[in-house]
Parts: sequence; C-alpha cells; structure tokens
Amino acid sequence: MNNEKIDKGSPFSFTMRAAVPHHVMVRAVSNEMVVFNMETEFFYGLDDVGNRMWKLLTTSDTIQDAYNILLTEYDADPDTLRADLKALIGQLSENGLLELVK
Amino acid sequence: MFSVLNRFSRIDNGPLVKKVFDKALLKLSEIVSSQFDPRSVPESEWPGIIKQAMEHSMGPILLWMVTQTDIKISDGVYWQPLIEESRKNAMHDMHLENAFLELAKAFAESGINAVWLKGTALSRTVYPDAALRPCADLDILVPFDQREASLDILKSKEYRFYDDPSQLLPMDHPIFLKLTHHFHLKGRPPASVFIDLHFRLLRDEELLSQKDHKWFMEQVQTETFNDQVFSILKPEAHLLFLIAHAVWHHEREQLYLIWYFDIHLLISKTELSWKMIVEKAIDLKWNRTAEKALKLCEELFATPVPSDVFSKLKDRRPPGEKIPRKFKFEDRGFGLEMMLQNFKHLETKEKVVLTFRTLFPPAKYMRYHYQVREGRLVLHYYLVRWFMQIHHSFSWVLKQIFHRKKNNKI
Repeated sequence: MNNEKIDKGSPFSFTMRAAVPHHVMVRAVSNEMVVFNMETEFFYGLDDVGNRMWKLLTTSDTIQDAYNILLTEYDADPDTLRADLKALIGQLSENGLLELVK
Repeated sequence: MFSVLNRFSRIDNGPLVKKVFDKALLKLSEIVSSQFDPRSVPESEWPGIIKQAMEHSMGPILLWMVTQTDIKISDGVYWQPLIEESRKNAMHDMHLENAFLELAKAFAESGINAVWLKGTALSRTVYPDAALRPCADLDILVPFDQREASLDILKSKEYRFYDDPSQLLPMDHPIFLKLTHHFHLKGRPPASVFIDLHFRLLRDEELLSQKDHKWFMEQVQTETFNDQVFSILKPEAHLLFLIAHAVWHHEREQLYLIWYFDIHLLISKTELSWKMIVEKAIDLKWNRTAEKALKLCEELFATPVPSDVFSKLKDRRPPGEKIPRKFKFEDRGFGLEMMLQNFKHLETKEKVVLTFRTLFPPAKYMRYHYQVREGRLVLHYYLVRWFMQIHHSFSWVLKQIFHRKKNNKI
C-alpha cells in the first residue's frame, strides 16, 4: 500500500485516506469534539456533524468510504454533502489537524 | 432519595452532629454513581444539580452520564455553562496529558522513581476517560533524596516556582521550603501546567511518620498510557492516601465531591484487599478517618464497602488514634495551631519572620483572602485580620483549658 502523504493545501481526491497526525489530540465533549494541534498550540472545535465527519474520516479506508456512510446517515443533497466534506477536509488539512495519504 | 449524613464532632463518643447536605448535591451523587436515571430528573432540578456539579468539579462526568441517555441537552439553556466548562476542561486536559507524557519520560530516563498521584493516576486508570476527571495540576511523588534532582528536571522543562497570592510566603522562600511537603511549580504559557512535586505524602509527620511513608513508597505498580510506562500507588495504598487527603489535608474546606468520587471509583473498579486496607488503617491509627471517608462514599455513591470493615475499624481503635484537628476542635484557632506546629521545624529567626509575615502579610495576599479588588485600599482589612486572629486565638486557648480540665476529670 502506498502511504505517501500529500502536502498541506494540496489538491486531494476522495480515493485518499485521512489520518490523524501524531501532534494532534482530540477530546469528545458531549456531541462535539475539541481538537488540539500541539505544534501550533491552537484548539479547534467540531460541532456534532463535524465530529461525525471526523470520526468517519479517521476510521474509514478512504474518504470516499466515509462519504458513502455519511450519505446514508444524513438527509442532504449528495453534491452539497460532498462539497461540505471537501471543505472540512481542506480546513483540517490546512490547520495541520489531518494528514492525507495516497 | 433523601439521605442524612453524619459528621463526627467530638473525639469522645459524644453525640454525633447530623449535617444535611444539599438535595441537589445528593441527586448529583446518585446520578454519577448510576443510582438514579438522569431521565427521571425533573427539568426544574437541573440548574441546581449543574451548579453543584460545577462547584465540585463533577461537570464533565455529569455531562458524560447525561449524553449516554437520550436527554436533549440542546433544549435547555442551563446546560450551556456545563458544556462550556467541559470544553475548557477538555482543552486543559490535553495540555496536562502532553505535560504528563513528557515528564514521565524525562523522569524515567533520569532514573527518578516518580509515582503519579490522585487525579493524574486515577484519570488514566479508573475513570472511563481521562478528560472526565478535571485536574488542576499534576501530582507527582518522588523519594525525598531525589527531590532536588526532580526539581532540576522540571526546571529544565521550563517549570518555575510561581507567585501564589494565597500563600504567606513565596514558594521558593527558605521557610516555605522547610515547611512544605511539596514544591509548587508552573509551566510556561500557553499551557501553564501546574505541578505539585511531592516528597512527602502528608505535611504533618504526626499523621504519617517517616517509617509509614516508606511503606507507601514501597507500594508501587506500573501502568502504561500511550506507550509510556509510569508508576502509581497500588490500589490499597492509594485508597488510604486518598482517604487521608480528602479528610485531613483540606480539613478546613467543606466536602469536595470529586475527591470522594475518586475513592468510590477506586473501590468500585479495582480488586482490593480489604484485609490489608483495614490492617494498615489500624496500623497507621487512621481508623476514624477511614470510617468517615468510607461512610460518606457509601451514603453518597452506594460504594460497595464490605459491611465488616466498619465494625473492624470501630472495634480495633488503637490507643493514641490520630484524630484530625477538625474533630478535636472547631475551626477557630486552627491558624494558631498550624503556626505552633510550624514553629517546631523552625529556628528562632525563622519563627520571627513567620510571625511577622502572619501579622503583616503582603497586600496581594490580603486581596486574595479578603477578595479586595485592585485599586481599593486593603489597610483596614489588616484590622479585621488582627481582630479575628486575637478572637480565634483566645477561643483556642479557652478550648485547650476546657479539654485539659475535662481530661483531668476523666
């Protein structure tokens, strides 16, 4: 399996896998998630939907798999959901909270 | 369920004083110990329960218990402070975990026999999740002869003695260092993690002799967290320490529920040798203390304490049993007694310094203790302080005379 990481901010595809970097810690608070980047020492919050997306992204084999599960769980337009997921991944990657692996 | 909890008020077998705890506090205790289904709590009672949870550092565990049910916390505005506190605690917990892993590694590499105590240990062993046990600081116990080396390690990681306004003396003052049983340090921002580096478990050697302290230091086991091996006290020793800490160390303060919840979880989640606990409590002359703590846990959380434990502790009270000061005397005069205890360890010049400091504490100390805002005068609060000191000292002297006369009559 090719585990090549892509650079922050680089384009990505849904065939890639998302992984939690070593410098990131997470804590669940109610239905939300608090994410901590130990390198930048910034905290981030994910609401309940973001929390679910995070969990699926970091446990699924590919981003596509995570997206497919989300489609079954949320009553949302597929294109809108895809765009939202892509935007979240972009933000998480940009802030060093998620690594994308080919 | 409404329960009345007893509190000892006399060292002899005089009448017990019954103290009624807040209903919301009792309900909170029942919820977090799964005795009461949170779904059955009337909505009007939640604000009171949440307030108690936040005062007793039980917010995260309460929120966690509630979110395991189908209660919609988004529906009530009174949940927001709890969620906000839990969020802040989660952030603080991540800083603590970071610091804990860094220091555990550093101590291990340096050959320091560090033992992690209280919340730091319990959060990673008996709590469902580390973030559910709020910790103000990391408590580490090191052997007395390794305290300076341990301090050097902390300083190398940019921890420093901090300026605590609640203390009469600076943390690195020679007199303070002579009297204290732990160093207080603070890490660099933004984490600013506080460390209590213990080299004695309890401050008062009358309560825990050096020989008995040595026993605790031998009761150590290792655990692993995030691939980092660290040491904690064995459950029996940790239980005894937690009991002593909850009942004695902060004896001037009122009940702090999280400490007793710690004891409850340690008992509920661990295989314990009650024979060893009872025998050691008797050997330490901590009978009444253990009874008090265990009884409270039983009443608050339905903690499964074997029924014969109480009878054994009661039937085998040793002569010279160590009774906490609060059991002997009321709060008045506590400060004077503490000072007389401190004097035993000080030279004459140091006694003078401490007395002067007690009578004329720095302004920031006065502001902290009398809650005086910046910009307002504190001078007249010194008069208040002196009046109270004289009043309490006089009360203490009278009590001494009264107890002495009573003991002479018996």
